[in-house]
Amino acid sequence: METQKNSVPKIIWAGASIGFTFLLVPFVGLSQRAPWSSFVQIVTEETVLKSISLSMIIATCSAFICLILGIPLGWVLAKADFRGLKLVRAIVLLPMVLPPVAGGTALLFALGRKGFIGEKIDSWFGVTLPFTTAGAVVAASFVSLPFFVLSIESSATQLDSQLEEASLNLGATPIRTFFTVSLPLLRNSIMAGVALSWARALGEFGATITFAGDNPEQTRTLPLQLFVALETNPERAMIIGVLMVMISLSVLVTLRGNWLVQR
Amino acid sequence: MTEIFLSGRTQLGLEEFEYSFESNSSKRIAVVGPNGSGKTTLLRLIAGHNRLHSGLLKIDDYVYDEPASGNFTPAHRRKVTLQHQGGSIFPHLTVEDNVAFPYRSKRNSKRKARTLASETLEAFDLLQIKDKYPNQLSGGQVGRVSLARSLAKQPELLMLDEPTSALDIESVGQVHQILQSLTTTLLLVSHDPIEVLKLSDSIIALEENKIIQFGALESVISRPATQWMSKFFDLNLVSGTASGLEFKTDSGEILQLSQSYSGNVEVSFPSSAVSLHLSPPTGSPRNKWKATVASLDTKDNLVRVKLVGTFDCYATITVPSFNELEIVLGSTIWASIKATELNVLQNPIPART
Repeated sequence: METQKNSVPKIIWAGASIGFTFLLVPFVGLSQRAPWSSFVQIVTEETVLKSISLSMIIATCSAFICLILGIPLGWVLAKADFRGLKLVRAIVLLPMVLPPVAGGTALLFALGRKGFIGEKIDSWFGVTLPFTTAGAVVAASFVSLPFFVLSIESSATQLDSQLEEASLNLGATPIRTFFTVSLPLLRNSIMAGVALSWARALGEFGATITFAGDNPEQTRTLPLQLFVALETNPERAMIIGVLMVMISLSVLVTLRGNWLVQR
Repeated sequence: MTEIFLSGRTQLGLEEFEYSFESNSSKRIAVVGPNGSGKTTLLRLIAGHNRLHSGLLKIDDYVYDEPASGNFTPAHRRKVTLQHQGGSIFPHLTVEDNVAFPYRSKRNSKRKARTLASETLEAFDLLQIKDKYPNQLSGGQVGRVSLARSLAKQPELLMLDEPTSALDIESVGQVHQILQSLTTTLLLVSHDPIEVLKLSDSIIALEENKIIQFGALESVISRPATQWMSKFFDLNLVSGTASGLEFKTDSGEILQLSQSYSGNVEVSFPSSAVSLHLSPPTGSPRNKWKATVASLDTKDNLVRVKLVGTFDCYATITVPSFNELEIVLGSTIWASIKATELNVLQNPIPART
């Protein structure tokens, strides 16, 4: 490692420094202007506490949905071979590059009260997703699922297929092999995928506000709270910003320590 | 005894493979051939990881693969075990759970599977490391654990892909002793001629993705079909006991070694190192013995002479010296070999009972 570090040319170092500074400066600015003395007071305000708990609930539910849907999806993308696989992969990854507002709009016209599926859900079950926590979970899952799938797919591709063959050789059925050999071997990337999709869901704004709207009781997560506060109470906006940086940073630090750097 | 019948073709990518053999009464078949000659693919076909494109694969009376009739038994329903090179031990399971794995697959309860695994571990002298994870094991332990696990399935045919290629000498000895004590029908890919001589009773020789020779060990060694084969088997193996510089063959012949050893050993030497003489040789060779010419095989200006006497071995000599010696079948002759040509293989631990 040492020798590799030393062999980086100076010009590359310079470029990297500029890039790092570019990423760092906004946080320095935020923490400099933030009214730290009122941090505890603002964070414990009832509306902020409500947003924190909504954010946690929505991110956790969304990470769970990603887990359930993402494992089979990532597995099929990694292992299956069929016509149109590349198109399927492109569609799966689309929410990652699509502006979340566009994703939210698409969700609205599919699952909104007048959307072609939402209409039926409404008339059959009397359930509408917009302006509910469930709607916010749907929006968050939509944008964070690709992160989970990518994490599973890349490590499933690298999985030592001899271990799965050995399992079959020893008499385990393919489904048993999946649950007793493949899944445990993917443990680290499943964890990483859960953490990544949780963090992505936590920061979700565009799709949520477009699809689930801004309902203080049901959908006003921390990013929405921040957005609202920006116009009415900049101090509160800054503190919420700092709070989100702290949460996200701690997720990333935990990730690096445990799952992203593995084997 | 398990009978293998295979006659068919398959294709992987651009490579074509063609196999045809019937194991008959062979119990321990060694699969040999140069790198990339189709050895592993042969095992994978029988295990069910690759499919035939045409032909038939039968184990005993069960059709495992017959494209014409659409018959194909998937890997997990075949009564064979393929042990990959390196063992493919599950890194996320303890030694005990690795060995319990095939028992679990047979729908035993977790507790029953562990009890059965413990019995297997005990038989393999692995009980004391049952709670360890594979990354905590030595190479030899990994070799024994993978064998224990393969056999826990109680396969009718055990296929091993170079089971000792990554092991140190001591572990190789341990694995060989386990394999020698087995009654399961064995298909063994090996790059080690000594291993083949020790463990097998017949040989499948592959070259360019085809079986070029199949037969009993003796007949293949005495008439290797290709140059690669004759080079591979240019080797004699004699067992006996060593004490100091003296090696006494099981038949009582005494040979001199160049280094001191003790206990049960095996001595190997290339057939080209054996010299033949009409009268008792004089000079530097320390080892000379009288033998009878049992068979002769000429190929590429070389003659392979089979010698029988107190112990059997091969000598390879050139055609001119063969003509000079006027050797005929049945004639009695003197053989000699230099002590430095004798390569001693020590058996590390007493034989298992």
